[in-house]
Amino acid sequence: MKTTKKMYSKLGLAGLLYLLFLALYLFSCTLSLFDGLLFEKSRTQQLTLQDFELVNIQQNLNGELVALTEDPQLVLKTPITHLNNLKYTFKTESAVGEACAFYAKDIEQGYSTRRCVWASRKDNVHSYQFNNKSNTHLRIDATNIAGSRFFISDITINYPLNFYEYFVPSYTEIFYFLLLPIMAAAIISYLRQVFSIIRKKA
Amino acid sequence: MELLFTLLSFAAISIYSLVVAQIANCKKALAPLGGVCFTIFYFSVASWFNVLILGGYIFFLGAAACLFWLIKNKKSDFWLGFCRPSVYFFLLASLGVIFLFAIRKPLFSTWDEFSLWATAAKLVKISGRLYTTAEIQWAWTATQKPGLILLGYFFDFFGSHAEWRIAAGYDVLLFSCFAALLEPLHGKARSLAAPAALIAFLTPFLFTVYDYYALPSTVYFSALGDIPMGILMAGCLIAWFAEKEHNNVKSFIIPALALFALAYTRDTAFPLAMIAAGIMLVDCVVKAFADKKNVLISVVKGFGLLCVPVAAFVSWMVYLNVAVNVNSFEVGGQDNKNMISLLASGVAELFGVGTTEKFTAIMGNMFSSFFNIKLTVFGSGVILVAAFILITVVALLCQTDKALRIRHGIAALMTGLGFVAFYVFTGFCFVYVLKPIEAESMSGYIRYVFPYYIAWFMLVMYFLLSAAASHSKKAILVGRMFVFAICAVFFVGFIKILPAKNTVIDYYDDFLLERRQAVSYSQQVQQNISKEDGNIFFVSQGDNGMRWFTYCCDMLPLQLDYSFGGGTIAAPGAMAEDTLYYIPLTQAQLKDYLVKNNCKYVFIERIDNNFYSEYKSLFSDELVQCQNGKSALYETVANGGTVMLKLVKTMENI
Repeated sequence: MKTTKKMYSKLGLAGLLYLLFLALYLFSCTLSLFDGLLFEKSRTQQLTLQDFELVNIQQNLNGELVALTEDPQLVLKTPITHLNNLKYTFKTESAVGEACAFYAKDIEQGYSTRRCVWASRKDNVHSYQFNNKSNTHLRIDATNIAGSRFFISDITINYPLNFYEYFVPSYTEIFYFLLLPIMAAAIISYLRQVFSIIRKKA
Repeated sequence: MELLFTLLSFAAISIYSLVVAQIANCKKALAPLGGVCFTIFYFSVASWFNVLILGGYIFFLGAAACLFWLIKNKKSDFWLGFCRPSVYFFLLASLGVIFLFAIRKPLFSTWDEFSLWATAAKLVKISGRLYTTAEIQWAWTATQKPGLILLGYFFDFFGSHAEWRIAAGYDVLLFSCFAALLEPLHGKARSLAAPAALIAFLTPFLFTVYDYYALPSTVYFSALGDIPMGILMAGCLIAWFAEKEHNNVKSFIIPALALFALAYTRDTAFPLAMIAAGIMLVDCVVKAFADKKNVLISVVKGFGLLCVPVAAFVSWMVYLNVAVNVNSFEVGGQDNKNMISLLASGVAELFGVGTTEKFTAIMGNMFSSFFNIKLTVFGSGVILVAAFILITVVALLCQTDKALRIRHGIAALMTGLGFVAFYVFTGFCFVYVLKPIEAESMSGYIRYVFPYYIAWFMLVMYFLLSAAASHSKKAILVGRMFVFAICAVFFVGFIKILPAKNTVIDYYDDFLLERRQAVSYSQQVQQNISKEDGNIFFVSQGDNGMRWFTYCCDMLPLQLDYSFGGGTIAAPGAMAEDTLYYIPLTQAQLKDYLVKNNCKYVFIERIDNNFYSEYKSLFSDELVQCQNGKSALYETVANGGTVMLKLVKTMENI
């Protein structure tokens, strides 16, 4: 018991800050949830291959796409007002290859790997999370295997998330959640020491 | 289950940390480093006598016995002694990495991992013996020192082999050194532990990644020895300087264990271990002068430390001589010199005796690279050295203990001189060991030198932290402020060039897609054939050797045939003769090769039109599936003069 008390007293400020950050995180998730509930239906949009310009891709009569190089691209012809997420069904008999989606506000500057989101896969569905980008151009690189033959269908942007998806943190968020409160506690403790020295001087 | 077994290994290492700390009577923050280095030492000794499996069971039983003894005999004061930020950091970071890896199961992905490190680790796991004597179908020159591989093996000991478990073992070693770095930060100075821990955690990233790169960095999930080597060198020195007195043998235990582990990480770590031991020797002498004690005894003590890396080096040399009849004293390369003649020739040429043009050109390159080659996010070597000097100056200014100030100042100076020696030695390696084309382009320059920069940085950070941990006004207002400033610079640098999604923290799944595919194919092949069935010929058009190396590792215990070391197989004349990795073979030559080399199976990873048109008639299905992008396994059916390749299985994609 004595040991537990000692350890608790050591973790006081940091513990408090962890609680605060957790509350802030839950608050921001709840805001996103409400935002989603209010606007998801109006934002959800179904796209077809006609909405895209096919670069380095050949489209066969049966709708099959053939990657002519290692860099096949589906470039959306018009920018999207609001882009939170994207998913599509990807079917192939061969290896799937890497898939990513680029977004760019200013198309003149071109697409950059700094503004690139990688696919998450479940069964044949590839999904991407963009975290609410506005007025953005979109380019999908659905595979990186030259000669790959595939079908893409059910392209949906801003699809509704499940309730729990609003609250599940990414690994990055977990990392920063672990890091930031303890750093904040360290800075506050340090400032307290500095102020106490200044006060003594005064 | 793999997670549970990995946690068991971690628990065992933690128990031995407590035991080593108890025996060595050292600072509690050094306990994890002692435990990890003891594990490396123990398994290295077991490997010499080829009793790795038996030794492993004894090690775990010993851990259980030690735990029982500790619980029975140690009172709460002993356990409370470990309640300090350094130990918390070690436990949380290690467990965090183990859980993260268990969920995400990262895989190795670089060339050198498959040409040696990851393959060696898997060989040790499946055979229970050191990789040096492993049966493998190509020129396997595995004479690299085994410390890290054996640490990985220890984490991979129970249950099935998984690469993430090996990487977790490496990370535990790194975190044990970081815990040692945090040693001064307890009590009222504990608030500095968070920024110091962040600096330590980001150090491997910022000293190895020098620019934004679209692909994730493999720092913290790598089987290579470069980063551990640098960090362990710092660990050795911190373990030494953490103790104020070295009056009894006990205080030598952890530095000696760490020096042995460092010398056993890889061949190029030997100079680092000697420099570290040299710095300790000088410190012994300085301390003796300061305390007005017998200098001769201190010199003897210091020489005792120098003997540790030498003993490690000799033990490995003897082992290689006995086990595989290889003389590791010879460093190989262009001139096939041994270590002494390499040093002698280098020093002679450096002082103008028989200096060749090659020597002058390469050493000139080394000199200019120090100023020009950007090797970390902060810039070139000269900027780093300037930063280290600045940190040292601040550390010395804030240090209130005069004796420590002298010791730290001289140690920093010696580390600088050690760097000069190491840098010149690296130049000698470029001159005498590496191929002329590599020497000209300074290939691998960054990789050869950054371990020392990491070690140097961590040592001066330790001096800064031990100065900032005191409660003087100067320490609080200047020292601690400086630590926060370094932390801020590191954090900004990290965010700028390495967003978390490009690191071990949150790398994207597709990064390892091709590798996962290889693992899946290899498992499917293993389900269909056994090791006794014969060798497997490997075809992967467009390969530069990387895919061949990868499959050599993934297929184990099945043996991949040499298969020309990977490349593009095509009919003679189908491609320009000087095409890189082009293997011209007629159909008849391919058939002969398969029969002569006992290739009972052929694994087609991918084909191209050249392969399809030249060899399709050899295959029972005329390569129809492979032409559609599938991979497949074929059986070689030799009947008299004819050879036919019969389809065994078409691979399922992940």
